[in-house]
Amino acid sequence: MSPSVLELRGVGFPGNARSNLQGVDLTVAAGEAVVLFGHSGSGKSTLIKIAGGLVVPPAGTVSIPDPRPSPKLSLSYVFQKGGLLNNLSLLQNAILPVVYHGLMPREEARERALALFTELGIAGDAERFPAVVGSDARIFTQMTRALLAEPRLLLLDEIFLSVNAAGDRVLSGLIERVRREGRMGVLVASSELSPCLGWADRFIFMRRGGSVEFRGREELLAAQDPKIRDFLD
Amino acid sequence: MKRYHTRVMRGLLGYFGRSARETLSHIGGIVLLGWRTAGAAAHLRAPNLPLVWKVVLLQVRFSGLQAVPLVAGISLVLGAATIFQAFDLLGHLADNYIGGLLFGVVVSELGPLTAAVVLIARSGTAMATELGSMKLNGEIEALQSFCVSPTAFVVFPRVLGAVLALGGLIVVFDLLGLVGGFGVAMLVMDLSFPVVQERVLTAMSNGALAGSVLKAGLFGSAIALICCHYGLSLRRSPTELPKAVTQAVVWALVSVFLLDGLVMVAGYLI
Repeated sequence: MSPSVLELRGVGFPGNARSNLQGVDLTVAAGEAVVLFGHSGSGKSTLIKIAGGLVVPPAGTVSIPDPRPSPKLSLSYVFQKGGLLNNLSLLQNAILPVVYHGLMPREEARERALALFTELGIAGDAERFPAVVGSDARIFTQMTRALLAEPRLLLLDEIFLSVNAAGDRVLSGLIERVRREGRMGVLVASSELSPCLGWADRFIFMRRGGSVEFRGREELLAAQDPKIRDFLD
Repeated sequence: MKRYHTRVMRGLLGYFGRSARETLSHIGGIVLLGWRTAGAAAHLRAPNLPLVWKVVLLQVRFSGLQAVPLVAGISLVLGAATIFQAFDLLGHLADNYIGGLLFGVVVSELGPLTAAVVLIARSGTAMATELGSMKLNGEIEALQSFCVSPTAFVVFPRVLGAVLALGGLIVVFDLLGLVGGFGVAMLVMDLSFPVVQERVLTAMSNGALAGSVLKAGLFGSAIALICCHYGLSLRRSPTELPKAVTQAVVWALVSVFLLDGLVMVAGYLI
């Protein structure tokens, strides 16, 4: 059994007509990829923000166990929109957290970021600014920034909405690799299920009145609930 | 008719009540931001410093160096105009007051106030707009997500940069204001350079110089904190931005003049 990298216990958050998080328990283990899916406003992004410490829930506890000595960045976050500093180049954005926290020397951070940029196909945009590149380059930059920090938990919020089909494949390949390496857990909020079917270990359908969990792709594909079928068909 | 008046009175009272509550809330927010900024600065560690220092230098370049031509022009004109007006009013009686006028009025009062107004007009508006955009674009949230404190990385360098830039601008203003004043004294009043110099040096006091330094610190930090606070107070929509920038400018001006009055009273009492 892999150690857990995220533990939510009894988390509650008042929402709207569609979402109302109540008593949410969720554990993500190292090497595991969990996908939260559901309609817009169902509470996926709120739960991701709660896990990331950006929203403090009025009820419940959040813990990110990290056995490393004095870890600086236990989690990394990739945002659907924004997420990059507009007055820094993509490369400067990618290395900012690790350089700021002194996790690695600037030169090493640059080299590793450029290697990831090359793998993701955005090396040519490294010195350009976020406002003048496409949304896929912005998401790839955030992914690079997130992975450079070597966190225990990777939180991805609706990243597939901002990239095209080729970008879906690149991101899926990266997530699959991270999952296989087994050092970090991945929690994804997504309105699109197709890019996640190849690598996700668990799928959680978010809706008001309680979530429904599916262990693996086969169990999800066998679901009969028409609201869930909407996401599959 | 009576009912109409009652409604108007209630409306007015409600408006003033809301405005007072909003103003008090902003004052509290600014004080809290100042407190948090001091705390964040105290917790900065060696690895953080190069990136923070880079933002400070950018702020000094924008707020200080790039404002030098504007401040230089204003200070030459104000220095010259002050002495010219004194001569116009008092004739050669003004000879006796030239040191006091140049040091007491131009260096001690006009220098800090004018440099502060330039800082508000050029950099205060830019700070409020930039931070407002950063908030709306999710840049502040992104910083928080990787444990970079926005007060340490965004607010503190701007406060420090504004203080350093304002100090530099006051020095530029004072020097060129003196040049303007000396020019009029020598060309119009037929005073020699050593005479004017001697009168200015006689009027100069350590207390007044310390007051200028104090004003650079107080005005610079107040302007930066107020403008950062209003920028960060944006919540959802870009339509909030113009109101936030206007309020930042108004309150920065009010605070600078209030602080100037306080320093003047404190100097008088001491």
